Amino acid sequence: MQGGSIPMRPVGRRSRVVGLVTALVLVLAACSGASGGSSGGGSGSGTLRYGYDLSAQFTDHFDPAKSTGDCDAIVLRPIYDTLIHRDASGNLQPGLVQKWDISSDGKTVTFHLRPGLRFQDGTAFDGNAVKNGLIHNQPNPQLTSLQLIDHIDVVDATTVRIALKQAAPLNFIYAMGSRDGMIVSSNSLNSADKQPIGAGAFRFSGYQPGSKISVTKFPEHYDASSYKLSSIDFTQVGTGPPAVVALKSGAVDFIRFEAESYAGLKASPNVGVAIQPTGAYLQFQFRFDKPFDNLKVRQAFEYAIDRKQINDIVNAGQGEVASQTFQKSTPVYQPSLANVYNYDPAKARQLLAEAGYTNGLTIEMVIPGGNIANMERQGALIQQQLQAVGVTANITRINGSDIATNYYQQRKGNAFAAERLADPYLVNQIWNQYGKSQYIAIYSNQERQDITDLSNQAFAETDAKKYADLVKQASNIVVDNALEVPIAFVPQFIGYDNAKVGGTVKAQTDICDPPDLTGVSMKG
Amino acid sequence: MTSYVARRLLALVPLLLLVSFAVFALVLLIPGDPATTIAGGTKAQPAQVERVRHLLHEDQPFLQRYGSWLGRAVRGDLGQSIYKNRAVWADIRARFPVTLSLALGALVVTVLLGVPAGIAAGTRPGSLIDRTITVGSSAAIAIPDFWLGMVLVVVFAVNIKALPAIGYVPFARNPVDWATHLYLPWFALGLANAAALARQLRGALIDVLEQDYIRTADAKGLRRSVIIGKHALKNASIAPVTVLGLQFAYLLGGTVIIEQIFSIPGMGQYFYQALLTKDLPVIQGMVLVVALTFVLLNLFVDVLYAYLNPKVRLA
Repeated sequence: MQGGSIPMRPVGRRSRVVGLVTALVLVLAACSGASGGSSGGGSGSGTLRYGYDLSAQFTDHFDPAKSTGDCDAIVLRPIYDTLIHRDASGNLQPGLVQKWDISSDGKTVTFHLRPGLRFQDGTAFDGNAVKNGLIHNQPNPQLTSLQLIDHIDVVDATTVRIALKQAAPLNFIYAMGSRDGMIVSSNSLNSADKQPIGAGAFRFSGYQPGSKISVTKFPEHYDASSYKLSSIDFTQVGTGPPAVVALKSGAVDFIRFEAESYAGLKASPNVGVAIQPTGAYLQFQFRFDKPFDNLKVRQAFEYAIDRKQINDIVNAGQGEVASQTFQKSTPVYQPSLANVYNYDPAKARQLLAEAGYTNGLTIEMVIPGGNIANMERQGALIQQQLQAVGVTANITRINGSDIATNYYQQRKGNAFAAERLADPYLVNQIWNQYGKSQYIAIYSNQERQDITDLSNQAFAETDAKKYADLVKQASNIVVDNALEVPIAFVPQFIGYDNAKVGGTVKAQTDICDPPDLTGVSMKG
Repeated sequence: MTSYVARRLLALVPLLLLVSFAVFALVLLIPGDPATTIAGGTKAQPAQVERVRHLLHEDQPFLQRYGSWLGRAVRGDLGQSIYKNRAVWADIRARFPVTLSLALGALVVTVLLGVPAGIAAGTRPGSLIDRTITVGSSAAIAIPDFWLGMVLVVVFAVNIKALPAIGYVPFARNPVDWATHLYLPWFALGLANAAALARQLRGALIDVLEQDYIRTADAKGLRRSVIIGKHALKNASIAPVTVLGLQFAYLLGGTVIIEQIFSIPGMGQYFYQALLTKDLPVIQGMVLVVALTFVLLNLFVDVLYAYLNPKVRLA
């Protein structure tokens, strides 16, 4: 039979069946309106389909007391709002709390609520509700500011006095702009994880796990007129290229994207781009063992790393080149520190020689694993730049969830090149890295008494100028001792379908901070 | 046949015990410390880490932990997700229909493309059609499903805008939307499988069509379609059925990347996130469920063998 040929009428029929199925596919696709526009409905200008990585960024908890991830805030903030707001520069602004006072000893904070506020279930948002809400959130170990609370007194319907165990008033107030300061309606404390009720600008209206979270406008919110959207659908899209594809295909209207997609999206005529500078920064962190226990070696690295080149490539040129821990827009930025360590490979080589490394040295540089594009690019650039001054940097990749144990506890590697997330309460940015008993400081061998003392004074300080002076002194110590190489501040990018989304679009102030959606509207 | 199935089911018990032990032993193999990760990573305080360690029963002897875990798993309690603090079994149950939709549709694509191609090539060996199908199937096997998925998205969702790029709609809510959202992933997953199936079927058919009983049937004047459809295909289907069974099992447990690309909330996406976050109860639960699926599908395939070839029942 080999080489023979048998006529196959049944196969011919099957081919026609395949053809029919294909035709059916196309007809169904045409009928589905799959790429359709925003659905609109309700008051306001329509529904914003917000691309959000539910599977990676949402921990399935609508109750701030149970939430286990910072990025839950992107969904929770529209539902609950926060007691305090922080503007794009990190300054404190009124939120559900209209104004606040700090006692002279720094151990008591008094919140004055906006009068007449209501939760989405119609109950009053008053002093008792705030007290109940803060106590409800307290068991969440991630909401560390709530551990500062000693007791809460409700003075009257709009006044709440919070006594702190130690003088750290600004730390506490800053945290009230995060999940710590999200207040659940007292009637829904037990059900908030599934049916959240808050006093935010949008009320919860549905959740399809892994697919979509829907919220609709709450017209009684104190600032309802600023919100132009009738609803928001937080729609599952994977972080990175899947989000970009989803935006371009019309599956979502609005995404956060990474720097590597900037050029492509900026050039796309149908896509608008919003950029927000942030306090998060690319950083080369030392472990203070040999060779980095030598100041000259650390200084050599400061001179050897070309921050501008890294910013141009990793941040698509949209970030701010860093010279110190804080960016220019903060009140603690110091122009005098701007040019301390300008890129100078010759000086780096000289310092290495003075430190005894005439023939160069080899280090193990850890970077976050998981093939994260900007981390890979930064690692490769640093490796290349160090090679130019005689330093061989072997790259070791450690996945994000293992960094705490593998890099810090087990002390694998000499240095860590990554992105350090911002802390809106500026002193924490230094304290967490170099303060006594702080995790990073312990395992990097860089607990410093001088920074601990300055930080403790800053925590207790209630005067903004004095507080800024203390943080500046700590920042000076970091630069003088070359405790880190701050490389570039990382911008946040938002891309949106400019045929559908109008108004003023603002990007996030940090990767897990919710974007300000006031002023965003849907066209048509 | 009943005793054959009973024997096979009994043989599964020690196998499943072994699998369950291996699954639980993952706790020893996975690098890093889940307790520290859960307690907040670099923000963790030592006391908090110890509290989490106690909650995870990490302070108990390994065998004792295995015993309690197995006891609960047998009762359908796979524990709580550390990261999401939800029952693992409930999450798997909710996501299983999604992945099943994906796997069944991909299987249909596999059969619809693979069987006709295998028959066309196997019944005309050496012909232009055979060579075209052989080359085409080699190429299709070489194409990674995630790459094909991205190309399909760019062509059909971004450029033509005929199909959605992402998302999933449950069948019960809207069957048309359900199918519309799955055409691209079905095709991305099904194409390489169809090519493998076609090659298996081609080879088996060529062998079977050389057998004496086929020549006899041909000499008796039976129509070619009857010879192929009724006599040759059944005997040639043993190897392809094995391939299909394995492919289906892989699809149920291995659609991780496709679910990521198409933002489909199935078991693959769940597993992927659990791996990233070191959510050990989820990883253990998923590996156990996938292993169980493999074992049961293998049993089903073996039973199908016994139906197709009675000699197997006696072996």
